[in-house]
Amino acid sequence: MGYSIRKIVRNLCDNWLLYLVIAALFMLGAGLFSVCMNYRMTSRELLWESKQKSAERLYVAVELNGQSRQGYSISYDTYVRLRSDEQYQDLEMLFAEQFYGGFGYYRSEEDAMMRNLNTYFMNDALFEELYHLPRKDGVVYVGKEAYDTLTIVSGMREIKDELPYFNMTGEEMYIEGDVLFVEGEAYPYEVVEDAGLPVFEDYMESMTYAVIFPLENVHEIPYEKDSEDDNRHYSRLSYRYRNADYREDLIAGQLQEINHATSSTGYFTVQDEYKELKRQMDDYQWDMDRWMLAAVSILLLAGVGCMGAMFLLLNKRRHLIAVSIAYGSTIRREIFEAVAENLIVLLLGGGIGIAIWPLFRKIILYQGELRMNVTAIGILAAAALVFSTGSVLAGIHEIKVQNVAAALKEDA
Amino acid sequence: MSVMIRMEDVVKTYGKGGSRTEALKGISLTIEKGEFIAVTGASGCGKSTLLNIMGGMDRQTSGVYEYDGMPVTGFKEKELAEFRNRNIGFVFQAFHLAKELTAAENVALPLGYAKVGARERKKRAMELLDRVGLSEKYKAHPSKLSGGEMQRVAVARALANHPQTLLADEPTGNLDHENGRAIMKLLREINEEGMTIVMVTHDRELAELADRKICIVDGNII
Repeated sequence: MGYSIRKIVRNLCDNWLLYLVIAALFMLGAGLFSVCMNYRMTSRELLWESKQKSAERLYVAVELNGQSRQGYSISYDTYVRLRSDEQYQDLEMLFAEQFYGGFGYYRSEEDAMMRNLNTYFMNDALFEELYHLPRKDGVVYVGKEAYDTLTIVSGMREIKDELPYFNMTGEEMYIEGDVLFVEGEAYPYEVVEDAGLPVFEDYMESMTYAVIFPLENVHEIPYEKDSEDDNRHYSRLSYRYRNADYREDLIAGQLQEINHATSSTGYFTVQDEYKELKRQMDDYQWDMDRWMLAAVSILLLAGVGCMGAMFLLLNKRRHLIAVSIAYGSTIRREIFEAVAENLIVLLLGGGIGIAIWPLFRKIILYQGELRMNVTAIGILAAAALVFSTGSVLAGIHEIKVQNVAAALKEDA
Repeated sequence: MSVMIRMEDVVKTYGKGGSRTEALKGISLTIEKGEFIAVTGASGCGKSTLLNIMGGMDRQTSGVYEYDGMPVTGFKEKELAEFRNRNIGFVFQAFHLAKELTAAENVALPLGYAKVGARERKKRAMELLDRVGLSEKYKAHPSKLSGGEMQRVAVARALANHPQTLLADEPTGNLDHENGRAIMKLLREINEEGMTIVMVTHDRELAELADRKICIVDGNII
């Protein structure tokens, strides 16, 4: 080892001028690389902030309006498929389907009545987001007005044949005591007071007219199953990222799938706020890629220049290497020494480049904060190792024990 | 005398397929310790190839090579490097001194790979240069030395690690008559001290100075 170190030091001293040029070139490369990496880091932080913002917020990305038979709304199957898809696991889906219903009867002019009765199949995430209620398994939540309507409907069912006009749009739904019946299926229900509860956004109506069924444990939504008279009006899908550490914008991916699944003809609304945030994130991502590309290109240019110079130097030393092998060295030892020699020069140049990179920022007009992270230093060190090894392997790779004699003969 | 070098049916081929050339076609020989052997033959007959295999700078394609009872055939790269360093001294026709190094540094080159300390290397190099009559030129680079001087430095380098065998490939080929004779005299002296010498030459006059001649024709010993 001691002899190798002496050899390396001696070679460095003997070729100091060329090595100075190589170190200066790599210093320039490392300095510019650092500037680009700083730009990249700034973009990355901005992207991270945007992602955090997107994880904190709830985005109503989709509201689809239309008849399910015409394929406009998001079907339960589509929802289940998207929810179960591995690639969307970082994305929380807040989903509900609304089926319009109504009830009307006419006994006399004074006694005529029309009532809305809207049925929702809503997943737990959306329910908790909207109502902040602890949801009980299998329980149907009924708004105050809806409850009154169902009470009337239940009372009139017995005498509906005697009424001049009795109509119920949607499926047959009524209550008996603590049980709510739909299409023969019985559910426990709870009446929800309206006070302080939020209303649905946009097209959806107040909770007071709502009958909210659970979605997660329903294998088939009754209304989708066999309804001849499809009364679906809206499906509503919101998104929230479970954490900010997602790799790409999953919402956009889902929107594409939904667009495909709904024949692209539905009434499709994406929030402006989301679109703006998405545009920002795309910009930051593009900035990151651009600066990374610039950083790598600069490093490659500098590295290839250094490799060329080191290759020439090693090529001149082929004779000495062959003589050394003839007298007891090994090709591995010669490669190790040459790599170490080059690596010292590149690390020295790279180190100085990193230390003085703020001087370079005027060249690329960098205004941001000055910093250097471990990744950038790691990339530089790895690049130095690759360039050193590359030039050595290119310069002396063909010298083997078997052809030392031939190499010496050539040099003679 | 005991056996220093034993080769049995050594074959060396270069290239593959149609361009395959057989440089050695089944060489078998034995060299005793302390012998001075001259290997003769026409250019391209395989004598340098034989020397390179003996010196561990090349490997035979097939056959057995033993040096002082050691199976050189099975040596790995590191063992072969140690073998060259400890047991063999090379003297080449073209001297092959490292132009970057001084005469003393050239002589000390094999000592570095034998893990000899810096001070001991210098001392040993100076002794050897003194022996070949060049102690005053220890700082000179090869470019400042004559052909005869360079070959003397090369001989000194070959002796650096006290090898048992010196392999010389046309050691006087690049020298004038006077310098050639001086080198031969030096080799003879070294041989008389007990070192085995194998010298490749196509000079019949020089070959006559050896104890034994081996003549190679088309890769075979005749």
